Amino acid sequence: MCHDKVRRYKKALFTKDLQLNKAMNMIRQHQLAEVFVQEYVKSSDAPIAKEEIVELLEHKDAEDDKVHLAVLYASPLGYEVPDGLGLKTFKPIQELNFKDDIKNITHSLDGGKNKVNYSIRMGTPINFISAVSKNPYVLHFIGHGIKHEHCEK
Amino acid sequence: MLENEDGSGQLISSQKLKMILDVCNSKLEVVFLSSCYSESEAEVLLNAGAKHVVCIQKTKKVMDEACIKFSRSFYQALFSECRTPCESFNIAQQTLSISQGLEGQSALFIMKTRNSIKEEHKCGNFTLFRGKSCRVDKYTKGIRLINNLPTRPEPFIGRNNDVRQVLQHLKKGNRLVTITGEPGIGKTAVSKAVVHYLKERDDELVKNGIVFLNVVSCASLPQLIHTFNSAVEEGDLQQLIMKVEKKDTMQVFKEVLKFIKSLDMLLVIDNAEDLMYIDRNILKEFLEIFMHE
Repeated sequence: MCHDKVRRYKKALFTKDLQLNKAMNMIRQHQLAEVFVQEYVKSSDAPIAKEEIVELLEHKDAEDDKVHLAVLYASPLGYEVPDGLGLKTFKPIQELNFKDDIKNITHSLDGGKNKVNYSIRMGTPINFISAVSKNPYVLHFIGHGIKHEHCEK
Repeated sequence: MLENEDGSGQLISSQKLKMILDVCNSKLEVVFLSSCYSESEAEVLLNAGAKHVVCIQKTKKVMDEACIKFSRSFYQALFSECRTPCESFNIAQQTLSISQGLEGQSALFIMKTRNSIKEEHKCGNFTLFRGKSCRVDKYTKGIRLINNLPTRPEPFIGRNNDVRQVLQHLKKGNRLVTITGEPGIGKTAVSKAVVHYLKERDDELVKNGIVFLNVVSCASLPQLIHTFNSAVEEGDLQQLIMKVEKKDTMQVFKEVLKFIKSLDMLLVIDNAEDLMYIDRNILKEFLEIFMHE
């Protein structure tokens, strides 16, 4: 490890939590890469640069934070519809069995060998925007669908 | 339809949906719309950049059980077996078509892709690493329930608006919400429904727990203290009562109330008017302690 890098890590270590985390990750990535290169060179003739390993690990760390599946559920008690007299009436809606749906999804994820990061949140407008902006692989929405003409009103 | 925090539905038009997706610059690989008539929304999602959308035919309703079964086998194939979204969809559809009682439901599910021509559509599997799946959002690992939450009122018909109104008051930050009405009209049922609604959604309001108390059988102050004490069942509270045992019962009651307040839970008192019949000062003390933050 060159002196510059060591100095950079030391500097980063004295900063706030986020930076500390990043620094620790960088150190970990370089250490892992070092070990990997040594082991790889021993067992194979194919040359592999340490930087390549670091790049892979950086990619993996980014993957670790990624939300793969965002589940949103919305089972409102009802919704307001215009009554034709300038007022709104509250129209009740049948409750959805979202708990069982979520339980089944998490069960199928927990039973697998792959690491899937998932989030489960109530389908409020804010949570919807937040889930979409995180760019998950899959967005799962459990909710009531309304025939299109109602929605446009 | 989305859901507001007060339990009311929020209809979202196709234009607004598209606008949100455009602003967020989302690149969703798969969207699963587990809701009836969702084909129209699927088109919007595809236009906004989603690669695959699983939805229900435009004019059709779907059973809850069918959605549950379908999504389970879909995600098993997609994440556990690392299949492509299209393969996973076919597997889930086949699974549903051989499920007893749900055979007819499998055709209701459709997978829409950005390239409608099959030859042009390229579908890959996700990059996943070995490890244990985990939930990444902040959530309460099971709401702490105190004094055995009563069962959900069943059937519960025509009271959803009452539940919504109670939720609206709670969400506004009101520290005391009173439900009044004629005997037998269903005040208890509404309060139970409110509590179940919040609990099912791991709501922030009940993050520290729920205490549901019925004070109807309390005829004296010591009995009331006993009811509160046995409801909370906290070791700290027992010690506290022991400390103030030699003082008067009202002092003990005040300490108990202060302790319950410190737990920062949602406290539901059924038949609260009975507090007045025991001793007028009880209600006064109760309000004085609980109304101030």
